[in-house]
Amino acid sequence: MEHTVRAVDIDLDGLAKDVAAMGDLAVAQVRAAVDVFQRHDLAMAAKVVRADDALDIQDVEIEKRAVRFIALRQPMADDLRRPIAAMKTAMQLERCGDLAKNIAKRVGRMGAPASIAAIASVAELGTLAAVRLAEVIDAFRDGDAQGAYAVWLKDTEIDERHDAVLAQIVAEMTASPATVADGAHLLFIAKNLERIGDHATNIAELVHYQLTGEDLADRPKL
Amino acid sequence: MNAQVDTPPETAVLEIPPETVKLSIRDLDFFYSGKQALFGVNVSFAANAVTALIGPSGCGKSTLLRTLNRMYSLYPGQKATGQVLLDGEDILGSRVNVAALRARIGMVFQKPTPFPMSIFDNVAYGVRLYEKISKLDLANRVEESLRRAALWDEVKDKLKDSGLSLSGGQQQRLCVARGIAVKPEILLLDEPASALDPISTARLEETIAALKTEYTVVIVTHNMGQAARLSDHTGFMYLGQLVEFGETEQLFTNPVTTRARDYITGRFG
Repeated sequence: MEHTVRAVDIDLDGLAKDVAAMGDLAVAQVRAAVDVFQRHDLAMAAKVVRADDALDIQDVEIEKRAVRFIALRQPMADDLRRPIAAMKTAMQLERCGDLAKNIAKRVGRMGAPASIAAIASVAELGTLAAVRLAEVIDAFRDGDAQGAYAVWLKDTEIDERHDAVLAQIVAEMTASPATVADGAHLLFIAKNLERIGDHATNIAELVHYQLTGEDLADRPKL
Repeated sequence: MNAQVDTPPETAVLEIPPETVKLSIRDLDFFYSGKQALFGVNVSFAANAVTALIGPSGCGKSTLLRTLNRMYSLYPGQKATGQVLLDGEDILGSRVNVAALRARIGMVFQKPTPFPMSIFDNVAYGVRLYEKISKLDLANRVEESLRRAALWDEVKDKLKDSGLSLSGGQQQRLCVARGIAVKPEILLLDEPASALDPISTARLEETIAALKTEYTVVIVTHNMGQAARLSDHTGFMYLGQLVEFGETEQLFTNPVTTRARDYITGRFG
C-alpha cells in the first residue's frame, strides 16, 4: 500500500534503487578484478583500482540519505528496516569494492604472469563469488526473501572451494619452491574472494531482515 | 528457520500470563444509543505496566478506556455488554459501587481539568471525599502525590495559588497528582499530552514511566512515538475491533497484522 506521505515512498524507493545500482557496480568490480588477475592485465588492473572511488562515494552518500530519512521521517517497522538495510548493505558493498581493489593491486605487484596452475582455480573461485554477489543484489532489487535465503544457504560452497584452492596452492608451493612468491599472492587473493562471499551472505541476511523483520540465525558453517 | 513469508492473520492478540493480569476484558461490546462502537474485545492488561491504545480517530480506543471505569454510565443510552474483570471481579455488574470503583481506577483527560480552587485543594479534593484523615496526613498525601507527578518542585511555594494559574503542562501533571492522591490501582490516560508542548510532554512521559512501578497504566494516544516510548504493551484498534495487541517493541518493529503494519507505517486508509 502507498504511504500517505508520497515523499516517503519516493525516498525509500530511490534509496533502494541506488543501493541496487551500487551492487551492480560492486559485482562489475569483482568480475573485472578476477578478469585482470586471470589475464594479468596491468593497465586494466589500474583502472579497477581507480574505479573503487565511486563505490566509496556511493556508500557515504547512501548512509547520509538513510540517516536523513530516519531523522526527518521517523519511520517505524518495515519503513525503519529499509533505510537501515540500505545503509548496511552499502557498507558491505563498499567492502567488496575494497577487496576487488586489493586483488587488482596485487596483480600489479605480481609482476610477470604467475606461473602456477592454481590460477585457474582461484579464478573459478572469483567467478563463484561474483555470481553469489550478483544473486544477492537481484534478491535485494526484487524484494525476494526466498532468493536471499537461497544465497544464504550456499555460503559454505564458497568456503569449501576456498579451502580446496588453498590446499592446491600450498601443494604447488611445497612441490616447487619457485612458485612460493606467486603462491603467496594467490593465497591472499583467494582469501579476498572468500571474504566477498561472506559479504554476499551478510547482504542476504540484511535482505531477509528487511523483508521479514527476522534474523537468519546460525549461518551454515563448514 | 526458513524464509517463508506466511499470510498475516486478520487479528493477533497476545495473551498476558494470568499471574500478571490486572484487568481482563471479555467479549466486550459497546453501544452508543444502539449504534455499536466496540465489537467483541478480548484482551488483558498487565499490572505494573503501561498499556497504550492506538488507532485512527473513531476506532473505539477512548470508548474502550471509558468502559474501564464506567465513565459511560454517566450518559443515558450508552451500554456495555461482556465483562471487565478487575482482579477477577466484573466491574460492569449493576451492583458495583461506581464511585468506589473510580477511586480504584483514576482517569486523566485530554484537556487539563483542574478544579477552580487552589493547587493544594485540587489534589486534596478526592482524598477528602473518600477518606477521613488528619490535616497532617492530608498535607503529606498532597506532597507525595505532587512529587510522584513530578510537579512538587515547581509548586511547593505556591500551593495556595489557583490550579488554573499553572501552565498547560503543569495543569496536566496536577491532574495526574489529583488522580493518584486517592491511591488508585489503575490510571487511565486519554491523550494526556495532546495539548502540551514537547518539554511538558517529556516531563509527563517521565512521570508516567515512574508511576508504573506502583500503578497499572492504560494510555490512549495518537502519538505513536509516545506509545512506543512509554508503553510495555500496545493495542491497535480499528472500527471498534482490537486488531493487534502485543509487546510494544514487537508491534512497532515488526507487527503481525497487515492493518497494524499499514497504520504504523502511515499507509492507511
